[in-house]
Amino acid sequence: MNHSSRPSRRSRLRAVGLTCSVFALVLSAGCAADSSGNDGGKTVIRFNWWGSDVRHEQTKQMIALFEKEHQNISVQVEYSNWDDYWKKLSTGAAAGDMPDVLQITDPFMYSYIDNGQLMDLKKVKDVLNTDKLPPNSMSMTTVKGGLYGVPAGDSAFGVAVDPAAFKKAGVPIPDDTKWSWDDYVKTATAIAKSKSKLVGSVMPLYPNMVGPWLRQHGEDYWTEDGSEIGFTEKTMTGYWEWVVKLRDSGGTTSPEAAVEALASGAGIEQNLVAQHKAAMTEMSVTQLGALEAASGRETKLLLFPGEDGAAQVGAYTKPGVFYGASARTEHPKEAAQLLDFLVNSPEAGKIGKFDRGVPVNPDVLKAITPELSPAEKRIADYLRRANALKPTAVHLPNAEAGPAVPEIFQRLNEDVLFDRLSPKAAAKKFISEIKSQL
Amino acid sequence: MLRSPLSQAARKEERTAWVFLLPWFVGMAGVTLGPMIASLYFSMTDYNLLSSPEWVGFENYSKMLDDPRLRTSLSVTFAYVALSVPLLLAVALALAMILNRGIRGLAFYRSVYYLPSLLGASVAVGILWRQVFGTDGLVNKFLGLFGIHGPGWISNPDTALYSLVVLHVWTFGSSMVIFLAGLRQIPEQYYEAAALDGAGRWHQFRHVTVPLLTPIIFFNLVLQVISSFQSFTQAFVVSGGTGGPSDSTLFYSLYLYEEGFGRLHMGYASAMAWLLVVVVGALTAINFYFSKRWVFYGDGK
Repeated sequence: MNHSSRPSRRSRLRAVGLTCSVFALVLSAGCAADSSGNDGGKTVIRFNWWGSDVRHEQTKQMIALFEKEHQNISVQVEYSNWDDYWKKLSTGAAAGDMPDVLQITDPFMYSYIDNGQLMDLKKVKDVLNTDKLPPNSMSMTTVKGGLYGVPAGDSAFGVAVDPAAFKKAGVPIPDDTKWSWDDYVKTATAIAKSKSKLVGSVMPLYPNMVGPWLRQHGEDYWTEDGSEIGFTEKTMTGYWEWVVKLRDSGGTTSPEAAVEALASGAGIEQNLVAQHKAAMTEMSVTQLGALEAASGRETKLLLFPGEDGAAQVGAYTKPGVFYGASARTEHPKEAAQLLDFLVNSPEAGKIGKFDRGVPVNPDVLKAITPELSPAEKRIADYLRRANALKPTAVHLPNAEAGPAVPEIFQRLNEDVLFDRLSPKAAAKKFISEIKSQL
Repeated sequence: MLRSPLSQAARKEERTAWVFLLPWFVGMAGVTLGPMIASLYFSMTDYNLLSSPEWVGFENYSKMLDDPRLRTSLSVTFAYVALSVPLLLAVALALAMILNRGIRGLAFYRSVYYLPSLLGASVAVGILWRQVFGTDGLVNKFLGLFGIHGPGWISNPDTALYSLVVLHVWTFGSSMVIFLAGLRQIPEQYYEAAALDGAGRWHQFRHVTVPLLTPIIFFNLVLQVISSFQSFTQAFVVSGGTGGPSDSTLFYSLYLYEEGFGRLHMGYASAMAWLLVVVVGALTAINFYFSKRWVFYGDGK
């Protein structure tokens, strides 16, 4: 036995063989991951969405029902939170690997529509019935005559107030048909100065109040066709002057605490109103159920201040979430069947309720109305009141620059809150930064 | 020219070596080299991930010249490197010297101090940091005992970067372990000789330890400058992915990520990546250039 310390030729060959087979395995696993196609005679389609745990559970139930109704289709689901969703989708799109059916929203969806990543749903109109969907609910996804998404549900922004906190502070809840932006600051201050030791209002960091503000001044983010910026430096300066006034009033959380809450990705459960520490917060009204579940209190929804005597109604309702399909799907018919089920099936509506907004299909809404919780009834009531003001339609955002607006706003808003920029300088920069994205 | 012919056995061995090296080559080509070449191409295109790239030449590079946020991110990153690297090396060296004095349970301490360098760049620690340096965090609770009302360290633009510097310095473990190995290499006779000549602790440190340790200090310095220039996770997690508040923690790589995957400017982000390569390369070259003046290799060079 010479060379006993060295591997024999045979064992060396075996090692080489092993290495190669490991490689082959890795490579084939890579290919196996691409699995849209057939699965035991069934057509497999992929469906992606973002959302909370509640939504994940509900949607999986809806899918189970869909698969029961369509024995020939198997739906592969993938879900994540908001941030990861878009990063994953953009890289997926770059690799030509978009899910067949997906949840989308403005303004981010416009990049996808503009670049031809989404299917024109008019092509599958024999399968996807849009007769019951009000035309105005589809105006946002109608681009150059094509339809690129169907609305999952209507939503709006508003002010949530905790009546128990107001009572504790001895401050009356303002009349939201008459209150002004100054009243908002005064109310917040009054609560903070009362013996209740409560925070008057959560510091607004998202641009949710900006849209209504601009509209009340007869402007909008964008011109009607979305080609140009639709607001003036003066109006934007006014908004940030109001923010500074609110900050200096002492009626809100400190900018630091607000920034911290935002950075930790806090959900509505961590909102100070949910924790009985604050009396008012702006929010997307469909989150009311989650807010009440966390706070254990009945919460009221108010219209934004300043509607009385405004140049234009600031409030608006619009679908907050849409469903779309990939332009490159190999199964357009099955994808359309799923879309049709999601927006038109009363049974699906009963599972999802208002989680993605108030269903726009009247039949679905009617079917689920008897099963609504008190919070959901208040959401529906709020949307009715907002719509009763007869708001004009929101202008479509610019496909190039629109998606960057929330991020630019948030950054400049922090500059204002920490006194690094004056409201006027911030407004000027806001406009120039958006312009540089056009 | 004639190469000495390899014996059959040697050639076979060489072939086997290549086969075993293959995984590394595949990895190198697929995971590093391929993407690098691709990014060089993308950096000369207008590419948004959703449609095919369009050739624009050097437009992305010239755009970088008048991008105020790029300047902000560079100055934030330089400040971070300039502050955290010397501090980290000083702490690592000090701890290494204490541990080198032959205390009991060295292995235990070494592991405990090493642990943060494994965890420092992790998401969990970033989240922990938010708790420690938050408005109602541990640091402020501690300051509160003395009646001091601390700011929200990570949410105030004036202090946010410093809390990240502290986080980075906390990961001194890997440098410390390398220092410790270096200290062990210094022959005991040098200290004995110095002591005989009447040198105290400080003089021994200044004239024996430091000169003999300069190659190790240099090695740690180069590695730390390169890695801290590319820091990403800490700022991403602590600021919630924004580089905020007010861009005060906008590390270069974070801005690059936001441009590429947030705003879908992949062409511009690729160009930024190449600027990063150039900057880190230049810093390393500068380090090597000046090393001739202070690094001592004992063999007379």
